[in-house]
Amino acid sequence: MAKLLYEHIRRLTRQDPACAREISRVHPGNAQTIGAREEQQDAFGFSEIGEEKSLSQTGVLAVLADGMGGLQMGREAAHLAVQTMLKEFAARRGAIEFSAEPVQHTLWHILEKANSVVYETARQQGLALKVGTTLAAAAVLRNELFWVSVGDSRIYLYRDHELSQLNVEHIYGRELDRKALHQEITWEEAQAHRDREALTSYVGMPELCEVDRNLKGLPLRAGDWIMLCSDGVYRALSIEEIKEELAGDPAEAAESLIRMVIEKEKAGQDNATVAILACE
Amino acid sequence: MRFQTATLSRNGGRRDNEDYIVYKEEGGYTCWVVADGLGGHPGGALASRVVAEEIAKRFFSTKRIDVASIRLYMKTAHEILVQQQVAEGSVQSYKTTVVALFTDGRNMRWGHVGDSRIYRIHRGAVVYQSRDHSVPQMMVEAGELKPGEIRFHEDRNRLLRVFGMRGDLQPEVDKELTSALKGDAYLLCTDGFWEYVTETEMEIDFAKAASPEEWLAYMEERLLQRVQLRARRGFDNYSAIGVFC
Repeated sequence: MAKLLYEHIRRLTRQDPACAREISRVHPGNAQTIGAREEQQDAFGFSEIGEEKSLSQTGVLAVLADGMGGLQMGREAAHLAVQTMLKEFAARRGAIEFSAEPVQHTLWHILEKANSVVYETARQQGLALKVGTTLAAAAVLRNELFWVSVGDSRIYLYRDHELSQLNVEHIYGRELDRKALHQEITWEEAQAHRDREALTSYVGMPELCEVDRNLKGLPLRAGDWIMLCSDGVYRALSIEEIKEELAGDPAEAAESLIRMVIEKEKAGQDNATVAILACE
Repeated sequence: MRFQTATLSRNGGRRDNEDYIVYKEEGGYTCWVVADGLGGHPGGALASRVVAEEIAKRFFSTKRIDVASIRLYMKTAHEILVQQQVAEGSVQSYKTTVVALFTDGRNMRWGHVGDSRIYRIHRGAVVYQSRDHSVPQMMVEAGELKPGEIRFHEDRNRLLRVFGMRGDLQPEVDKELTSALKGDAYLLCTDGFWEYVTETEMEIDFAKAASPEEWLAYMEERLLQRVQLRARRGFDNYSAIGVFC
């Protein structure tokens, strides 16, 4: 009896990722609201998903950008960033000379390109340093996830009823928290600081500053969902409220989330966007 | 095999730190030990230090990583605590958990007592997590609790085995000899650490980290954010060792 129990426990404590079910398909879902703002400055997009070899050779990409409203041309910046990422991803992944390029390198290069396109466009308008956008991008290739993120949009992994945030947000609050850890200020002062949510890194700077990304692939399992969202979503809904909607069809789940954001009728509700990749 | 190691041990919200870490390498042999002393008084700090140092000392004097040897290092350390308590007429309590990882440069073996844990990451995923010697873990084995419900469970601090307890100690030493494989990683940590970081987050932060220092730093950031959210003023000491192969 003890031996059986031991074997059972041994199986529980040891899992071989090679035995996890392979991902066969990825289903997208997306939804958006302008909220209480005058302009929609969020943008999003997906690469070609339906194609046979997308998942196994090229990779499937989801991108989301939140234009900085406090600066100029937020809407244009977000659109430009998303379009550049998608265009460069398709070009690079489809080109023979890059066929062996690891996905994390591709993401890095296309992010740099998106940054210089936004910066250059701004500069030509005489608006250098006055145009910016967040950018979050997630790519699924075979059974692995790769991502890059700049700013305070979020990338989540939803697995087994748990929502895990992949990226750290590039906001001044992180610096404040570090000061609090070293007891230079109190935790209360860090939380209450009026510049807590100011972005410390964004796309549209002369050179990329902080970038959140993985260096090695994150193994995915069938049933995992990857969700990109702008701050308009996570400032309106709690984690529990978000988790409740992440089931069934990803397109319906995305719409359901945005419907919940709208129903909150939050004063000054920001643009809110959700982009989901559901792995089957 | 060359290993990269990072360590972390903090008071958390407590005045004193009763966790203790040992990391020592000599001639290709390495041992990593994390210990969590019990109780809010000096006995815990002493127990964790004495046991961790004794285990390391025994290992380096024999340099053996078979199951029987590791059990012996641990039982010897346990006896020291038992004798100390007897000598003092059981006025002071000296008890601690321990998790220890050993290598001869080619193979790895680990053992533990209590609820400090060891995780092994292989091909980017957590493939091994030690079982706690605690009441909630027993409830999981009995099918009464889901593994994810151990965190923050009200009986989390009820341990079934600790160094310094009355009677014989049964250290749990992994029976399989694991090869030291390039790309693998290990995380040894006290409950003050794993309570606030999930296994999925350990994988995510491992994927982002260029070094074990970065790995621990990302996880610590999550821990501190969670602690703030839960407004836990007197939160526990937390310690961790990250090893990259």
